[in-house]
Amino acid sequence: MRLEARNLKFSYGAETPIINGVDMLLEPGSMAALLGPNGSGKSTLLRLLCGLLTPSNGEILIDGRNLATINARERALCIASVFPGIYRQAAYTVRELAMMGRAAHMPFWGASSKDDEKQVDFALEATGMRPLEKRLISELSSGEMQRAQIAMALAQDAPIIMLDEPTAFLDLKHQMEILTLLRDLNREHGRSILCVSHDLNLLSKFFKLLFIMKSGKIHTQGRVCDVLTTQTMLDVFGVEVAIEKDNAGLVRIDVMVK
Amino acid sequence: MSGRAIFNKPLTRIIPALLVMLGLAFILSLAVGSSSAGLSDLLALSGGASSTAGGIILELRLPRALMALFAGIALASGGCVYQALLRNPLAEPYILGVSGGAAVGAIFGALVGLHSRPATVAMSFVFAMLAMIFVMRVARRRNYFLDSNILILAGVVLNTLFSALIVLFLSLIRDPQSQTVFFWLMGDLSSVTLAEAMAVAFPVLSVSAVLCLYGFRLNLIHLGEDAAKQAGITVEKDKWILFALASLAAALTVSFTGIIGFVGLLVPHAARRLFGADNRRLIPTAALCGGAFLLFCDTLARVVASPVELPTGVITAAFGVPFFLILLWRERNAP
Repeated sequence: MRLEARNLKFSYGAETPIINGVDMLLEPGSMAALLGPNGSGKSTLLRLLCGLLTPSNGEILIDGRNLATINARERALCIASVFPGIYRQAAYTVRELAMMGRAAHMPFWGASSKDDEKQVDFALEATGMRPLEKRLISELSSGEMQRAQIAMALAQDAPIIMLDEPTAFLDLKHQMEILTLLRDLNREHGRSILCVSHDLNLLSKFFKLLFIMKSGKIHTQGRVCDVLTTQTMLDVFGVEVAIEKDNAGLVRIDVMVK
Repeated sequence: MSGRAIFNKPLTRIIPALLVMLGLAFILSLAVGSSSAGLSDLLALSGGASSTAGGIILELRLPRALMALFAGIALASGGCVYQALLRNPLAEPYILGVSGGAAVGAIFGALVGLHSRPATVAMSFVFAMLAMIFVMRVARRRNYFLDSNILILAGVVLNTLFSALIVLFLSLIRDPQSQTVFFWLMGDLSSVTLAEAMAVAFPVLSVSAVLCLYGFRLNLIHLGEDAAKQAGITVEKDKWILFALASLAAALTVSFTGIIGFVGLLVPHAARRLFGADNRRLIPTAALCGGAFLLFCDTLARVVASPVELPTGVITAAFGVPFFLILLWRERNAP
């Protein structure tokens, strides 16, 4: 599915706009990351794009249809998203959590069909959560919880998955696990991924497309190796960095410490 | 508050077992009381014989047992809904002040001359909703999370206000026919008639049935509003429907039985521990357990101090208050 934002603006009440004129395009099968300094509007933009917030201006088109005009259920069939802020004390099991991702496919009262069970099996398998399916979500580690939430999004069976800092608070090994999982979902299962993240080095290894935000706008967008330049880093983050690029297109970023 | 379910059997196995338990509680409630009418009279009655003892069972105990059953179902299913919607294990119609609001509404209705049952329930419902909205507004923080402590505190303060209003309105009414302060504040089933019990049956059972159907959506909202919304749930709309239904359940019972506290706290917690947190399972099981629990409490209320009959709310409070304190203790020590 193709996701397009046109002149998107958003502000809470009369405050200065948090998103101030964003145009972006996410082609089907994209593996994209949204990057930017704190407060640049990344999470807000992600919330707008997946329909959790309504833009005060502009429109979001999903395969040409305006996101604002399609109902919650249909939207959930197009876009799944993973945000922090799940109430972990709720005593649901991992499998029950993943099954909740099937809401848009189920009847009102949430009776699961064979198809729902199959899709949940697949989601738990793909995220490596099958062995933990009977665990309560309150008993999971941060990394496991992140994977459980991705399983929920995957069970939703939407072509686009958006994630807000899925690797936050995780150690390097778990960061790698989550990003590898996202890459596999993109490569092997054809999902478009849009992910807010901070770690430039990891991003450059796993993502193909970058959107770099600054003060509510997209500052630069394009392929990782084209976009990540010393100039961009200086403009957006105000830090001087050294960037090495090898022949395979991999980028290595080092901060200059004076 | 969390923990794995003790019984993982499917609902088709659990529900019949709970119905048997409910049946036993119902028979016990009919067979036991401050008078000597007992099981043998009950059996004779079911054989078609008529006697004084049979009369006691039919005219005094049956309406009471039916009302206890329906009130228990309504309060317990309402409790499940409040706990999930407010993400607060201590939420309950009584503690939140919703039941108090319902009682004030009913009495206020009588004060301004609304005496018909539907009008009383309607007034009761309006005040219950107002109490609910007030408590939520007070406890709302900047993000849409509710502050647990403030939520409970606001409920406590509201309850104090409502108790005062109940006493005030009742002294203004001065109608010897109207219910006593005891009735409203502690909950009492002794004056229930068969007609009243039958009148609440359909609304209570339908509200609870609809709440059962909302179980899955409630799971998602409980989990988090973003998560629910992204999964395709119309969160805002569903939340209001659920609040309204849970408050209606409270209003329906309170306007017939007075304020019976803690059923909506104790029973959902016990049921969650036994059958799991999934509201698709929890609401129906808690509803049946609630019916059985209130039948049991009401039976106790009639026999512990025999020949004096205690208000039912005294017994539920005797179970509920220690339980509430344990939950509070655990909340305090929660990470």
